[in-house]
Amino acid sequence: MTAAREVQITRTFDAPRELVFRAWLDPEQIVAWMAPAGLEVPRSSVHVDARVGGRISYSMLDPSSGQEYPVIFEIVEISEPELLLFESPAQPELGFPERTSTRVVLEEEGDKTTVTITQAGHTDETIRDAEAGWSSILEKLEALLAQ
Amino acid sequence: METDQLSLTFAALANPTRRAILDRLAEGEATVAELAKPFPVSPPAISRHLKVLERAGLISRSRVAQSRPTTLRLEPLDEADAWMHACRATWEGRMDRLGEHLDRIQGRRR
Repeated sequence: MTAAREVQITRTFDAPRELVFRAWLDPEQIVAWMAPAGLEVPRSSVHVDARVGGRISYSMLDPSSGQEYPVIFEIVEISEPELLLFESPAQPELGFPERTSTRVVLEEEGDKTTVTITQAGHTDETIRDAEAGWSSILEKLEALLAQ
Repeated sequence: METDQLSLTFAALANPTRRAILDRLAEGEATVAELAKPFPVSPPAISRHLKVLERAGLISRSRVAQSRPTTLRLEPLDEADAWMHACRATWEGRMDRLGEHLDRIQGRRR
């Protein structure tokens, strides 16, 4: 499989690495943060089997419409407290036409923790490779905003 | 986080219903009723989503016609970029809430 598309984001938190790591696998904590603002994570939707071969699954609920969006992270690798590697099945109805991988790297920086998330979509169609020229999102947004 | 245009855009894209609306608009302009049809959502809920998209500059709505047909303003964004937007927006949103959560459980308030 070829990584056709990749997104990386980095964030530094004022919290020790162990604490940040545990937030990923504890159902009570998943409820508190694993959906963007405006969506909720119903506690009853959260299931965690925290081992390689296990999975994290939950729903993101839009309270304004009642619509639920299922999320699945199959656990490929766990290395506490520095690495989590997930894979997610394709969900075409949610705009994810391909299987995706999500790598979470936690780095200690004094009392702070830097988290780097890399999400990649995979496809067998090599034609959709890097040469297709994904220009950066920011460039396109800048162009858009300059209109 | 500062509420600049980029943040508005990412926030707008963080919602699956709004992404689906953009997908529909990629096929051509549509009225609110047409946009609401595929969703188990009321027209007022769709209107709220459209307001968010409009504030983010992702759509424009006609002021002339009664039905206020909506058009997509994101022609430069192809499907791959939409995917990347969606991933990035979702993770940025989660990281915002993780930061708040970590502050909360450490007894700090923002």
